[in-house]
Amino acid sequence: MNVENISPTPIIPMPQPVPRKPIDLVKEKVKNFTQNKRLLGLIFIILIAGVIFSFLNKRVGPKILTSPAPHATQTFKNPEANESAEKLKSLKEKIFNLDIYQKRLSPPNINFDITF
Amino acid sequence: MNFVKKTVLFLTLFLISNFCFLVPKTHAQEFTFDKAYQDYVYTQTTYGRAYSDYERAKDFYLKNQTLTLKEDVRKKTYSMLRERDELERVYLAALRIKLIEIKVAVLPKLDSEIEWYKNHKESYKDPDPLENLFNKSKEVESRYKSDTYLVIYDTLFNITLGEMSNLRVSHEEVYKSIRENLDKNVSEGKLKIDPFNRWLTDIDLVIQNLKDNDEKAKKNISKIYEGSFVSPLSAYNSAVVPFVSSTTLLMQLNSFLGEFLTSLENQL
Repeated sequence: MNVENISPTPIIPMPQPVPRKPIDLVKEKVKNFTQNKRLLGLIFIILIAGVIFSFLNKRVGPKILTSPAPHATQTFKNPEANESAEKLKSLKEKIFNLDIYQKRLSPPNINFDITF
Repeated sequence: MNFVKKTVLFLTLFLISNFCFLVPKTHAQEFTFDKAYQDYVYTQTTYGRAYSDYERAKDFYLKNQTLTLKEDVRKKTYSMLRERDELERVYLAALRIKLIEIKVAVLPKLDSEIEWYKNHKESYKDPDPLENLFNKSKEVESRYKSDTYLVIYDTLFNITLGEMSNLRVSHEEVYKSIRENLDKNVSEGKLKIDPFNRWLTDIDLVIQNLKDNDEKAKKNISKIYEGSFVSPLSAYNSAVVPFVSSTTLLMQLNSFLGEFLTSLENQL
């Protein structure tokens, strides 16, 4: 039997892909996205359309409530005392705003003499 | 697939952009006094406009008494009189809401006045001749002078009384809380009752004076129905006089309680 002398062929290792970092992947995605001018243009138009649409509807956006400037109030260790102090401050304001003659609610001016 | 992606993106962005700028007001529109007052101010403007139209039409007619101008002034009078009843109704309704807001009992007379103006407004009919309109207007004048005017000032008095009483009661609540704290610390031996015992007497006196003023004012307003005053307005002005002193007393009470609280807490 003629046995061929089979020499073992050396196994050439396949080039393994270099593992990419996730940050690189994100960077690439962002780059692709920003290079897509048509898409960016579309987003811009949608945003502008949204703004115009909202103004045409004359709807009011959320109001940013700003708290009034805090007045200097004495603070105590006891939380109940602080609560009482706050309440007294608020009551003081109400006393200042009292209108004992109810001028704002005075009856409407009506002329009954309408015959001619 | 690409088309679907773009459509979804388009819709999402459109909704987001709209949501950011629109944010609809979803708060329930409660019928508060402020809302009722706005209605009153609006109705005042509407009545004012109707009255000016009536006056203009009347002047034209008096200068040139044609049938057409008479018909015009009739229509303007009809509109103005309906607006006038509506103004009274809306005004009285605003007073009613105010009473409810400050937790004061609504006078039954106030409700019947509101009902009267509501019904009277509907009694005007479009084809009514001028003479009928004038007669119906006199009904309102008579009602206003005999009932409405009194009810208005009685209600205004109750609003002021309610506001004053509410302020006193709120101060009393704070006083009670401070006093409980004082009693606790005295019983635990952390504080001496002196000089607080004298302070308590002074504060009690202010509260008593406030209560006395309320009673004086109530006695004064009861005269509104006795006819001893020239008008309900003068009866009202006289009735609220004790509240002038009450305002000063409330300020004093507020200041005393603040001082009491500070002194007490500083000693602990």
